[in-house]
Amino acid sequence: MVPTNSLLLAIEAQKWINPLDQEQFRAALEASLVINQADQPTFERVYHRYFHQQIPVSLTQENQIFKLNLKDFTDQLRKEGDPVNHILADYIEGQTDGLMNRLGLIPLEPDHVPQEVDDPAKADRTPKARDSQKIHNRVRVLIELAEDFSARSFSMNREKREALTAYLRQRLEEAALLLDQNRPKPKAREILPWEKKRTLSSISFNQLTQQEIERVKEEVERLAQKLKDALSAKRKRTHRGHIEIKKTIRDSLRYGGVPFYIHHKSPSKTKGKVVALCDISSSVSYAAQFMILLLYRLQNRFSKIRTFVFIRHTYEISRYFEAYPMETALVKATKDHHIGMGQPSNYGTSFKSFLDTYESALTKDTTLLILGDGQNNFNNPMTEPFEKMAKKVERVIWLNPEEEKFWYSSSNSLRHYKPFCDQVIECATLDQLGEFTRNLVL
Amino acid sequence: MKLPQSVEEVAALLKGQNYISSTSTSTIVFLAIQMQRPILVEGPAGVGKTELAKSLAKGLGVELIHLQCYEGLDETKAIYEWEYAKQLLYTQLLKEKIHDLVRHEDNLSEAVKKVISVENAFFSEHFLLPRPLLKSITLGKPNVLLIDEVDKSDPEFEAYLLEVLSTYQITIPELGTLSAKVPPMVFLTSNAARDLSDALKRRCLHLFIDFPTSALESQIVRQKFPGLSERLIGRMVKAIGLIREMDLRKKPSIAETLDWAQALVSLQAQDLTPQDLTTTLGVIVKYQSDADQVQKKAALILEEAP
Repeated sequence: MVPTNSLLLAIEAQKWINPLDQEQFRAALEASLVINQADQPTFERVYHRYFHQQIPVSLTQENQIFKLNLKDFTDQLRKEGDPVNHILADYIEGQTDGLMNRLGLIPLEPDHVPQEVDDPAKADRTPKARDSQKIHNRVRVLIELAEDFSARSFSMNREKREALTAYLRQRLEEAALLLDQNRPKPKAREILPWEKKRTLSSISFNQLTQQEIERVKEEVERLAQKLKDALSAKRKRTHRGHIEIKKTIRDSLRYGGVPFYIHHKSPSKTKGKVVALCDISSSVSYAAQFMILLLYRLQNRFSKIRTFVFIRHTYEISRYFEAYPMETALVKATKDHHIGMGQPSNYGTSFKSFLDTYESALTKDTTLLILGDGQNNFNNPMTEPFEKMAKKVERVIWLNPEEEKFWYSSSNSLRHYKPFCDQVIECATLDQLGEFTRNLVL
Repeated sequence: MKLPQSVEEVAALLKGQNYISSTSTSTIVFLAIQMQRPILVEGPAGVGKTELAKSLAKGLGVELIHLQCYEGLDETKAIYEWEYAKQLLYTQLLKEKIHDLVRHEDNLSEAVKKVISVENAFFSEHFLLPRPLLKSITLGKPNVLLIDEVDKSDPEFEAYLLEVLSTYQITIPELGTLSAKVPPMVFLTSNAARDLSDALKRRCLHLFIDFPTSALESQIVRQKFPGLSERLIGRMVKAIGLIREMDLRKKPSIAETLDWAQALVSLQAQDLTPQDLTTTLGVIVKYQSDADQVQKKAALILEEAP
């Protein structure tokens, strides 16, 4: 949405620039209307769509002979009698309503509104979709025809002939571009009725579509920033805590004993270590990605984060997150270690292999985070290694991306590990992840 | 000082300072000058956001007042502060005078009244320590105010900026409102480390400077290093373009391209050989993992940059 004062700004800006210079005009609009960088593509789309509906400037400047020749071409087009040709001829002459109408960019009169298509399978074959495909093919052929036509318009000199070719080509390519933008996009997953009222932050990670995953990632970034802001505010409050007497008195001597500058003790930073163990079998891999993303965005809050992933065996992948952008790190890590994400997980062997190899990672000031659904596929849970791990660290928090009612099924081993955990938290949505992280860092 | 009267004049003025701008950049700078609006410049690190403000100030021959933002920046560092020490010193020096003033008063309340009537002497501009924002507002002549990396400051600080940016005035409780006689040209830069508030964004014109096109980049390198051969510039710019397409932690921007050109000049390189690329790699990429990636594809990059 464009706020009113941005609009006023855009209008005011027009006073100062040369509106016939397209680049200046566009820059002025962009500078005042696009407030968020994310809106840039929308601006470009709307700009193109709107301003290419106008009669081109170049046409108004051309002479009569040029226009006559142009009319010749459009008349020949219309002779064919096909409505598509009429639309394109109009477009070339600068009347764009026909094409816009066909593309559905201009709302039709109410009694022309086509019947809603009930069967989604038929939706792709609506007259509109067929139509734009037809026009699209026609445009391609016409571009060649136009070049041929202008080359034979001997009533004009060579320069004008070239201008005509350029003009026809430009208009037809514009039409093609408009059509491309209106190609039906691949359909997103149908939103199920019970999901309709839920916002992105409360959809379970398991049910996200590919598009939503991208958006959740953005949300996670925003969440990380919010938490950082909250942390800095908290640090400031604590700064106003204890007075450091010695420093204050020493400083007051400069002002005749008046304590002008009150010095405070800088709050001790209680940064802890975090060791995160993530199950990355397919059922929970997204939840793992989001949690890791959030942890690393807040990494200066912890003295150290080490990340491990497991399915049947545990691997350390911390260095990947230090070296690569978040999006590629997990993919690279799993590829390098030949971890097949589709395999069933085995918690017992995973914890054992962790303890064998990385026992030194666990210290008294470590928070051990386990992220997994506990789905052990009837393997031996082997609680001993886990108990040992729990004893070595400050606290163990188990995050479960599954709803609590599934925690105690017979194939699930969470009930064996639960006695050794300080907390077991359901963490299936962005809201829950945010809540948990807030408690962890604040 | 003569303000530029057209977009072309802005471009020429910036070019005079070795800053090659795109049409959209010069248009927006021109608009900001004419409409007296702040510009919010966004874009990746090293594309010349800060340099734009510096070049404009230099080109116009006005003072550049620079406020570097950081986490924890507050109004006492950015706007103004009372000089306590100076105030205290003066009260000590003028003790006798104050004594004289209240000598003839019979009771305490009368004495207090007397002191209050002259307390303005201690809260005057004389004891005010102006920080960049106040300095820019009260300078009395045109200046460029650069609020650098505003996204690094805390959200509360943004609120302080709102008054300055929309009305070019600052309110000091003890003194009242100070308005700018000549409004400064304000540049805010941001690397998008966090989302700025809508209130702040609404008050600004927006300029997004992206990595330059290869033609613009060649022009910039040519302007700064006239001695470099065309062939070398072409190959460098092409190679940088290819490196930017790779999946790197920190993509090289125009600052890196210029550093690279400087390095190649110092090494007296005539052509871009694999050897040159290896020795100067540290100038282009800043992380070991990025360097490894580029190194691996070095042959391919040089082959594609004829």
